[in-house]
Amino acid sequence: MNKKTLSISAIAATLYLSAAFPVSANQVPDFGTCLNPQWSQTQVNYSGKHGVVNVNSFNGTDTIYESNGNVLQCLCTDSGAGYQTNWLNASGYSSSEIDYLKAQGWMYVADGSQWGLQQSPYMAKNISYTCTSCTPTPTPTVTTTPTPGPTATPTPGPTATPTPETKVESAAANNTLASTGNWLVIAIVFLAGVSSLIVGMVLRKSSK
Amino acid sequence: MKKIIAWFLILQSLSFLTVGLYQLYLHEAPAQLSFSNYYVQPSVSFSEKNAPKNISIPSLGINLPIYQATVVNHVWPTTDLGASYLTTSPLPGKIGNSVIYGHNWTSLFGHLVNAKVGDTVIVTYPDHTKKTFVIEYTSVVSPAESSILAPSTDRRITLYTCTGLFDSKRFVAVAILKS
Repeated sequence: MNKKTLSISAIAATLYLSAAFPVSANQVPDFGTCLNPQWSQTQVNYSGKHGVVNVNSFNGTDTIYESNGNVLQCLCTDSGAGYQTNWLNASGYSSSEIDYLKAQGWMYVADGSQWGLQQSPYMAKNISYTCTSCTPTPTPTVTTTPTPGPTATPTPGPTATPTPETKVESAAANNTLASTGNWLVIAIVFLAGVSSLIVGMVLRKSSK
Repeated sequence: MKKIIAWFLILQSLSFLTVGLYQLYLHEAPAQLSFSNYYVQPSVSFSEKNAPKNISIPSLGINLPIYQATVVNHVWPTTDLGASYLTTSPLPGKIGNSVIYGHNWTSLFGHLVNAKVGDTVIVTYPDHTKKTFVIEYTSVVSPAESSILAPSTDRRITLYTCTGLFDSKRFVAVAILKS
């Protein structure tokens, strides 16, 4: 391989990688989880209807956490279904970065103010969990740290109508094949492999 | 035709054996049940004498002895005999986030994935005192989601086991002390 070919390959590889991975993992902050939030709590709404981007509106307790302009929304509905929405402030993101995040399962929200956030674009990602539905209490605790917008609880605005497409990472969907690593499963897989091999070899011999 | 079926079976057997070998690796791998980026903090309250001895979740038919586990050099010790209590987390019932984990085998925490909010978790101590917790949250998270093990201001236990394709995820149940 000559120098020219090497240089062209290196340039091509760099261009490909920069197009494929425009947002490094460091640029997407660690939102954590609604099971044990680590960010500053800015608001709690114990009652009322709260919107989940691209899903629907639900009655329940909505808790908002913030860090560096990014928002973690934890909605525990009255039925015990939990929706965690990671709101990534995308005001400084290029279109290729936004496209990359979309491919990673994020949804683009052009104007966060429709969801009670700042008036800037956001990328949103929903994750489901289960939770204990709270009984509404008359005196909700609200801390005085900066709120994300004029109405701090993300609620769907006039244009934010729910779409049939629901983008929520389901916990139940991941519960398949939960017994990996189990001796029984290992034995069955090996047995199937060896039986298949024996039958295959016998068939191959007899076909000669 | 016979020849094609024979080759298909041989190729199939190779994929089965590869999966089998990978599962064997998962069974023995030290990374199993681990969380990445977990910053270990020495527990003030832990001593071998007061370590919890048993955990039961009656609704799931789980009743297991608890073994102490200490993460050294990012290796999370596991046991085939029961549940593992992370000794660098607070004792169950004390303020903070106590961590108990186990393999997803049916004889251990395999049924944990069926845990429901409201299920009771009982932790027993050597002096036969019991701490009762009630599950308030469940979720499936990635092994990188170590904030699940971060300290908390309430009295909680975080139970988890592996789940997902090739144990690539962690099923987590968070229970809060009731008595």
